[in-house]
Amino acid sequence: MSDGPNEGEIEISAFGPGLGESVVIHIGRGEWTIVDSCRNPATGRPVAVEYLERLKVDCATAVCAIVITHWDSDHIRGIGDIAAACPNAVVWCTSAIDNAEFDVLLDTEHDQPGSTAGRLRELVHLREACALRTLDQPGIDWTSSRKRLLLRRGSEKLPQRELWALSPSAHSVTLTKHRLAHVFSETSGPLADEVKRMSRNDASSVLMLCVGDRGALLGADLEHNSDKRCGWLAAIPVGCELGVETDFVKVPHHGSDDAHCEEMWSDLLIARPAAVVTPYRSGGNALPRETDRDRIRRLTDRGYLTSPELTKPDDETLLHLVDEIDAVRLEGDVGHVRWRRPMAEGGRWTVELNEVSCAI
Amino acid sequence: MTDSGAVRDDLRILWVDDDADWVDGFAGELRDESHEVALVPSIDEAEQLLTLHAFDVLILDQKIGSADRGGTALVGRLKQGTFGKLNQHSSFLFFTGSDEWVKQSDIDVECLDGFLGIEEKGEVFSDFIGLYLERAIPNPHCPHDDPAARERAPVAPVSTVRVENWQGTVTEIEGAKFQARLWAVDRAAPEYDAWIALSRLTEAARQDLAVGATVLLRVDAHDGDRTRSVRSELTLLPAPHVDKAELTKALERARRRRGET
Repeated sequence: MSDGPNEGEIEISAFGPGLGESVVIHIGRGEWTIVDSCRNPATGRPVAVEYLERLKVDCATAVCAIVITHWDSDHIRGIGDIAAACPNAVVWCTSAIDNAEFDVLLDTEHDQPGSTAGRLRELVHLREACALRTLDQPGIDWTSSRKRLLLRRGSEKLPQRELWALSPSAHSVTLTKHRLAHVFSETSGPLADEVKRMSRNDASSVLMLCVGDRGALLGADLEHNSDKRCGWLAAIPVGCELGVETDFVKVPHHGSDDAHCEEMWSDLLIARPAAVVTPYRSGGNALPRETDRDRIRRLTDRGYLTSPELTKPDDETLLHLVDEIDAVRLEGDVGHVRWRRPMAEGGRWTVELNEVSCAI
Repeated sequence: MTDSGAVRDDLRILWVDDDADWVDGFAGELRDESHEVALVPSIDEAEQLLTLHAFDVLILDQKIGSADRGGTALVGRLKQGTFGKLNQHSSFLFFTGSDEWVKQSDIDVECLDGFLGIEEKGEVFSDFIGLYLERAIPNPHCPHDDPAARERAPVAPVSTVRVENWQGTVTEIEGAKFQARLWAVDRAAPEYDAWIALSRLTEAARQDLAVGATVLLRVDAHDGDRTRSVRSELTLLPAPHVDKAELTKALERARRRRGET
């Protein structure tokens, strides 16, 4: 899968080694956007950069935007390296962390590595990479609901392309700021514990890529609850306002049922959309569960997983031989699901899989 | 061949045995007596060392890997000159599970130049080793009387010792165990979540156990054809102490920086 798309072709490539995800988008005319980051366990490098290099894309000039949907570790591994490799890309972060409290957490992790249990280490690296940019290069900007991150005017050959954030809602941002403020209060516990407990998914930036009158929904890890001020019930009306026919979805939160919202499928998406799910593993937990896969299969027969259950024997390291240590491997080979379609009217999505990825 | 006839306490010994746990202790005793011992767990590695270095004595197990490539076959090839002349006349003895294994071999090792004996593995071994070594004829190619040469050309380290260094962060503590997210320190590798028994920590280290604490884990494995011995060392570094008062001051500074106050 080392052939590049045509200038007039949109591509959404989803990558996942089993823990973590990264989405690479061709928005036409050789311009690219990267959403979130994961590393290739075999090389330690960001998969997005490795992929673009395979396509012989010059990351320094061709990547115009990097979006960090939220700061969970499975979405930001290698993000600093991406920012360094793509110095002309605007780095978009959720506005929930645009505050003094989060600045201090980053400063603390920088000055005392490990003080946030390593959760903010990658963002410290990101901040350093952006600080090294020159004044004429873009820096970090903030996403929030109804914010347009990117606009490419239409021409005779190509329709208009826009990238919109459908979340986080103002309420989610406020909630996150309250949680952050608690970290500094007298009643809070050790810093690492507090940071670990902070929910991040409800501050996720869900994105809608609009190409002409058609859309592609990138669901981040946004979860669903009954509160209309946050989560999917707040994001869906924003998406509907865009008035596009959405025929692609990156299923939110690794297909988990806590992110399943009927209205997302019925109000935002056409029937049987093209879909991709990136798995997640941590300790004994794995997403999507079999029930999640069943549910998604009922909603679309065009859904794919970047990587299935790990099947390789766990003998690549010595960890499994150590007494009283029960180690679970979180990552395998990097799965790649590549969707492409011509931007011209009537263009259809076609999918390609590498040897790791599979149908859901 | 030169026969010095002298009994030496600085023999260079190649020990070929895939039962690392059994061999390690005896090899240590020999080293304490000033002998130089190279331990290898496979025939392949023994062949490599025999080509590169001179040895006074070979101590061999019979059943290593496949039967046709055991200790007797190795000695057979050595004496035919397959590995050159460096060790063609070296002394050798068998320490193996059963002397019958050696005697049933196609090669009559007792008739070969340098044969010292066959001993069955057992606790009496260390009592006999000195007697066998006294009968060994020093190999003139070994740099016995030239410490500088010995230093210049030490016996190659055993190549099948594998070391992994992992670092991690404690993410959960639950009952008698804790969970850590581990990543490899010196190579690119998948990450792991590991549940680790509290019993792996010393009493003092347990006092420092908290979410955010750093785990350092070193694992050494000695691989043989049929066996593998594993040692591990776990160290816990306490989570950095973050002073709340300092944090509050930092927050005030950050707010001023942002023009929020």
